[in-house]
Amino acid sequence: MEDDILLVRRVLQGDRSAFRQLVESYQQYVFTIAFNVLKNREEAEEVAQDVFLKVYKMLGSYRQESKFSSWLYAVAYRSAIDASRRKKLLQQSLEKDGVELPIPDLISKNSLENLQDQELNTWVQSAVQTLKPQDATIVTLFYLNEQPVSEIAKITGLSVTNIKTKLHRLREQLREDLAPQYHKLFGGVVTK
Amino acid sequence: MNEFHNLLIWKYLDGECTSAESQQVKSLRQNDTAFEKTFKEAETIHFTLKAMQAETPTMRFATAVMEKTEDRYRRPRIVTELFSARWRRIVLCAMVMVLIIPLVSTLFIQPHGNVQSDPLSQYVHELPHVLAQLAPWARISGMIALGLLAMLALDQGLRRWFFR
Repeated sequence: MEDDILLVRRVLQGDRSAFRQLVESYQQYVFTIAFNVLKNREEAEEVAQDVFLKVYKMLGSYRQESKFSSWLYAVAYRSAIDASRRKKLLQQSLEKDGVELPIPDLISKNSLENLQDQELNTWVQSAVQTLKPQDATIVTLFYLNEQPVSEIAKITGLSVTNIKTKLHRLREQLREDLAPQYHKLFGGVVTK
Repeated sequence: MNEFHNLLIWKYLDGECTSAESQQVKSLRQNDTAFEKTFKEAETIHFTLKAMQAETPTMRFATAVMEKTEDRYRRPRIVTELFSARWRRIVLCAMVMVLIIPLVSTLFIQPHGNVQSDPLSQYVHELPHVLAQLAPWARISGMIALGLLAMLALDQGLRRWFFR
């Protein structure tokens, strides 16, 4: 956080290389948030670039009360949701309101029997990508960006209780979906 | 497996258990095979999610952003707040006073002696009289307070719109 604030100060003093450092530090996380919402790489890249432009423009208004990363992720999440609304993708995803997680296209049900660690990672990552935009963002922020629940609540505009409930439901759903494959794969003993 | 045990497992994996709860988890893992099975599944999901890789944008991402900042924007301006938090509180207090004093005087002083059952309609009915009776300085200060409140609202509204 200290480093980020120093970089922000340098940008405000006109140091563009400091802004490039910020972009390079956060580009993957911002892109992942946009991708989880939009489910399309090209659109996600466009939105992620716009996020950094927006952040550059309004960096002077950043109050250092919250972490820079939280502020950036909030801008990224809102921008992605706005872009999704514009393209009416959100409406489509809301229709799929059920909590059942579809098996990702990358791995068929039959091939799940041959899961190895790497394949397990791919399965989970693909499963996260098939979640509703908001749910995927919550899981991503919690695990990938390692944001505490209170920060996720600020970023998404939901309550802390709501985030905890959603996180629990999503993880349980993932566990239940993957449970049969574990036992085929590891013979009842999971060694992780 | 009950819901309490499921919650306990995730709490343990998130490192949020008390020492008593951690002991309970350890004990359940040793004595309850169903719990142990669920724990292993949850643990695997937990660590797989932790090992999740971020999506990578194209190689030119940072360069493209920098080019766009060069084209479209100059050095970011430092935006100062129109009102400090202290002034916002003062203005809000002034507004509350301006609104509450006539309300209280209308409800409790009863200048015309006619009792109305509905306090709101009574307030609306009496408000012009009360305002007319106010000293000029009170009216001017009320107008200033209203003006400040309008500017405050505008400041907040524009801030939210621009920086959302």
